[in-house]
Amino acid sequence: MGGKFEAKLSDARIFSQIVDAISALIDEGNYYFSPDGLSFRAMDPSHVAMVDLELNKAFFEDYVCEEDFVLGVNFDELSKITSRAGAGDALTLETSEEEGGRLRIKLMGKATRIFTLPILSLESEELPRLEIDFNVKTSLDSDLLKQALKDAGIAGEYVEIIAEDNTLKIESRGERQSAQISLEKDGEGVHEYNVSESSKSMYAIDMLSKMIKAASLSDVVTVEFSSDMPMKFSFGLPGQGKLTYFLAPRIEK
Amino acid sequence: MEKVAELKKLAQEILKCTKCKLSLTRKNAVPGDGSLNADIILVGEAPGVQEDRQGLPFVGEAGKLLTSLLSSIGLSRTDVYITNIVKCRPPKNREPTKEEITTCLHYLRKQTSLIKPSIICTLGRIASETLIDKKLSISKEHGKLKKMGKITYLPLYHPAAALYNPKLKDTLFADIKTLEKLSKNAKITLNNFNHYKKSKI
Repeated sequence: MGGKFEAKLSDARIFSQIVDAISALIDEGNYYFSPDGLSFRAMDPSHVAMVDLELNKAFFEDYVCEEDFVLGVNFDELSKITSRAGAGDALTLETSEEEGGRLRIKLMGKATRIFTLPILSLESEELPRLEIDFNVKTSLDSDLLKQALKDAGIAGEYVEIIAEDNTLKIESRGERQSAQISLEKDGEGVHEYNVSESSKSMYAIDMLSKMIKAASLSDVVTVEFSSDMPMKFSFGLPGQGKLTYFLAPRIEK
Repeated sequence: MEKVAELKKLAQEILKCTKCKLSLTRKNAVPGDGSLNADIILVGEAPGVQEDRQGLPFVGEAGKLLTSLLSSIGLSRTDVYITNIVKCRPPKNREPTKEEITTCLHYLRKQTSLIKPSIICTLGRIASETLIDKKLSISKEHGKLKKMGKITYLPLYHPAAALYNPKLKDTLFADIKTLEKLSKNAKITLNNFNHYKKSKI
């Protein structure tokens, strides 16, 4: 980290929501900053879920990054700071060389608040992007999926997602209860529904519930999966940015 | 702190441990080896002469048998985490004393709480009595699953016992099939989809 770095956002809360969406799954990780923007990719400690964030420089009102650098952060610490952002607050991120390198976060509203936190040197294994051709791709209202997962969570710990030609079914079963939610291809809130092959797969509801927290960032979520394959959730962000999650399936014998 | 970093820190602590007199006679403490994200932990009794020399668990003759056992159900040593109840070799391969077990056990508890396996396979009487039930009879209970909290335990004969007893060896290969059935129901991670990786950052 040698050159100047400064990124400004007029709405601090969107950055706070991104940090929350990552911290739901990840404890620590490296942001990769470049003159074009930033990226972040990490798996949760159990390697069941992956978060993949891409923010182009257009996401920020002002963005100056003179050279590539890696910024390791503890998300619990970062989240405590960014969650202090209120309505109308602007945010500035800067790096500072003091004390061996710190991230300076400025929240500007009625008061100007400056927080710093240490930049961590984290072992960074090169984490490849998961590129999978899925048989099912659907875009729907984020809140529709959020409510469906809440309904399913009443009955069991796992949800079975079944994509038929015209219907997406979300089912869960517990010892005493069961839940079934059906979303029709032409139904309200379903914007795209493509099924090249009928598919059925099971996922942990607690992990999906953590991922769907990102619904606050985007009105629409794109869901992709295939039978006994990971599920992919993508949320579009301003400036053609994207927040993507992958979740491993639960496969029963 | 990240899990991997915590486990590495714990291993360093074990390597420097002087909490019992086994530290006076060991060449190397043996924290454990394998995947830090494993869903299965195999727990033996204590390091032997080869393990003490190399600082790795189950690398002697019993280790070779353990590798064959895992291989017979499609698992490799890197798919699981292998460790012992006691991390240092007792002199002349004697059994660890109750005091040594009590002193050392918190290391295994910490390893388990960080790795979060759903299956623990106890190898031999000492590991089975310590982790499952102090009254457990390995000759009666081997190969039978015990669910305790979130973890399923599978007591097996110790591979070293089977080295000199072909009948026990057959029993071990039969019992490990239970682990095969369990592991197929075990946690699937994104690492299982490595072959779909095409691009890199």
